[in-house]
Amino acid sequence: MYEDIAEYALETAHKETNWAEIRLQSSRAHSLLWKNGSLENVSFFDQHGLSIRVLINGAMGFASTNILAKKTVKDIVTKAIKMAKGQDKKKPLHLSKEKIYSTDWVVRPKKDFPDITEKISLLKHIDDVLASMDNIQACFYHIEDSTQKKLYLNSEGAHISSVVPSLSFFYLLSIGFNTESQQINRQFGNTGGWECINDWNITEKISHDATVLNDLITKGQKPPVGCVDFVVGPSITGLIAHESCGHPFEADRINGRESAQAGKSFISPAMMGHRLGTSVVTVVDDPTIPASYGYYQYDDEGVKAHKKVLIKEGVINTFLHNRETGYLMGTQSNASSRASSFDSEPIIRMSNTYMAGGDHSLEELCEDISLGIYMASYMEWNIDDSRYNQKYVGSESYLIQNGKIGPLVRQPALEITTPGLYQSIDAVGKDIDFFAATCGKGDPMQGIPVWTGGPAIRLRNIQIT
Amino acid sequence: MTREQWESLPSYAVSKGSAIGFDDIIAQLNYSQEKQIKFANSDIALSSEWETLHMDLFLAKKKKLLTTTVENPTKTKIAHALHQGQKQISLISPKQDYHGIGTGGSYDAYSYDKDIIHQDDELLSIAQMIIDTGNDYVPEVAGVLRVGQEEAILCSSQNVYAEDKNSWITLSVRALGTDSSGHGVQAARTMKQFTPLTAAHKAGSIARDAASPQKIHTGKYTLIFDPLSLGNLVSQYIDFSSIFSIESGFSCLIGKLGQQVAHEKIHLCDDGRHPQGIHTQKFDAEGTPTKKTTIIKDGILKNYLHNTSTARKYNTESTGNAGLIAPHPWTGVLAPGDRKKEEIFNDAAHALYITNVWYTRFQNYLTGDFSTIPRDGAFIIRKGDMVKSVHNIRISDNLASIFAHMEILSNAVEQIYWWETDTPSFVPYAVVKNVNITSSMG
Repeated sequence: MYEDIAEYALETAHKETNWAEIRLQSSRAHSLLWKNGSLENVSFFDQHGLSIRVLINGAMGFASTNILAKKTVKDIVTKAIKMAKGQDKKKPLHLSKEKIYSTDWVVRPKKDFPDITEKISLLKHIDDVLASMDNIQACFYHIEDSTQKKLYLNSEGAHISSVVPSLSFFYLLSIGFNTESQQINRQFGNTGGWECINDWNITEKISHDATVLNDLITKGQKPPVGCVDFVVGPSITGLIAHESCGHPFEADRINGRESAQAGKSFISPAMMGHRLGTSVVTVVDDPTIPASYGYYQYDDEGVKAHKKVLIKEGVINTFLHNRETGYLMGTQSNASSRASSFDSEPIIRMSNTYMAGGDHSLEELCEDISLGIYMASYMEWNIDDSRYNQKYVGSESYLIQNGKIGPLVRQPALEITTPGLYQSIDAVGKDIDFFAATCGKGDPMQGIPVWTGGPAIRLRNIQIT
Repeated sequence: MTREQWESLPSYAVSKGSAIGFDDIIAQLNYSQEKQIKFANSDIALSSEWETLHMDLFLAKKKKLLTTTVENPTKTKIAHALHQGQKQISLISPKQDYHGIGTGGSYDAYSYDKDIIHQDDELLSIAQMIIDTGNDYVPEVAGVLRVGQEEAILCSSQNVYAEDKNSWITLSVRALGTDSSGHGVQAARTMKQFTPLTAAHKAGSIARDAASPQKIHTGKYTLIFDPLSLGNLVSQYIDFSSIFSIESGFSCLIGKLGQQVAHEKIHLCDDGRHPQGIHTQKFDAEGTPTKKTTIIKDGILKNYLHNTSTARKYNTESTGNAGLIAPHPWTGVLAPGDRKKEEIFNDAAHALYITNVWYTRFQNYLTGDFSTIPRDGAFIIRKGDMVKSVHNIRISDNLASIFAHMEILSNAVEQIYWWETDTPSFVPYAVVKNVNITSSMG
């Protein structure tokens, strides 16, 4: 895997810099795209390349190439150094001191990825199941397996290699008749091998979605108006944990480094220790959950991964840090630095972000609600770039009447501020579920695998919009 | 890496692939170099440089389709990829509605700046000027300045041989006050065409004027869209015109050819040949010359975007929009109207001026029900005056309805391209009546 080239690059860079790191990365992937009953395309690639970051007098330079020859690599080292030296840096950048590791880590699949025929059989089976459902307007599936190999080296002596296989599946479904249409999409993802596929219950979920979308068109009622209580299901709780806790707790956002693109944060360093939500709200980011889509043992700055409690019983507890923000905010990195591919700079990312479970069953969450909404899934959502104003619009949603989940309602919208949301939660379910997602951040854009998750939660006195 | 080392590889891939027995082969080699200065907190945050060489391969046999990318290709790697492709393609099922690839044509040349990548000092100096200009208005400036150039060679089994060279420079700059922000963008094909300080002044002045924002009532407003905010919606609408979006069931333009889908004053094209377009190139992913395609004329939907195969399926002509797998737009061009920008603002009795939006998401792709969030300055305008800066609002409406009510357009367009809008577009200012504005509780 070109380890000699990586070591050559580090050696060359270290002669002229205070600090340098090399990330050599290869990604082998195989994907199938299925659209409306037939195989649209098969794709495979074996991407590899190397990047270097250098720190010279407080200025950072980055360079990358997929041409893994000594001459080109020497050229890009020179370019990274030149780019760093050319900066008239006003506020020098420093990195927190971290423990240095020399180690290998590997995620071993329990079941190897199969050949293409088994994957086609799976897609065909899903399609056959769906074909028996009513009013399928369009459907679209994408399955991809990949194996990422990385070697991380830095001038402090870090030497970490890893191999991580992963599997993902995505579907889009559109149901329509009588000039009306409803759509939904879902994503599944795990690190590991083909063993994940059975856990996802794709045919059950897509059949359920097709039934619900049909029912929404024929039986869906208008939601009530005014203020009611909401119970939102685990997929929405997970999205909330990701969008309005994980993102605003990224220290690079808080410090303004991403302000021209992904935005800033309504959270400031001075808010550490302040109450944001009720005491039942605890939000965690944990890259060490085995088989999770956001799993890793060491981040892309060589720091050992661990669980972080972002909100603890309603109180702001910690932010997500890399080595730059760790130093800047007088603390340590908590191993939140990741890059999506060899040619991307490592930046602060979530891993598996979820709201911790409580002690209520779904029935208990609903039982004292005289009129409310149970939002089980969503379609439209967005949040402003300081992560303060968000909107979640229900797809599969039900009216709650006198403590019981009743008829389907169409597109109830929850449009609320982040403090308003966390302060309205008065009960948390006990059954946690996780959902795969691809989180976008950085410029150039980097999509990174994550899980979002949590239990069903109850929000009191919410204005339906 | 010298050109001599890689220029013969596409023709090698095609001849080798033909010998193996593929019916259709396209090999496109791209060599690119890019540089980027990222700045934040009015300081340089990171300088980056990329150099990459890769070859995209499209392979078809008996209507079975396969694509792959070969990184840093050599003859050995290409041969290996073709043999792997041969093995895989024998196992897959045909795409019955596949109808082949294009046969090429004659190509026009577009402006190219061969020196754009070699101006390190100038790039850093431009970044510093942008920061200084923004700081004349507000204390904090952030953004990205990026330059690049790319050489491409495409060969196909339809005897297509095509070469292209493109260059670009883009700027996205955001100025931030304590409770406000403004954004400006610039994009050009050559350094000569690039005027970055216009974007910096715009970002800075919006941020300054947007200080002390207030809440407003929710409900219906007449909106004045800045080109930056309109570019986001036009990019979305033109993405919906790809036949891939249509067939996948995720477009509000499905089944509407020949129907009114916008106000009669709306003329929207996809232009792969726009002289200033940063995504302008000579040919698409199968070597078909790029074109200017009318999507909407007088408010009526005229065309979807096609590659050769989908065009043959629907008995029409390729629009030169092939991607490796699916057709995609190059550059949206919304034709300007007849009003001066100043007239639009002076004539507004009570309007909401939206300078930028992000996070556009759909509840229903077929109907176009969606919402998007204004970010950066938003203002209540009365007779040309900014009477109030506003915040914490959301446009919650229907995309088709917004285009149906877009009856006033300014007489000049700007190229919009940034992190949130990755299909570039040339768009004017626009006025749209009766747009629904919502806001968060709590």
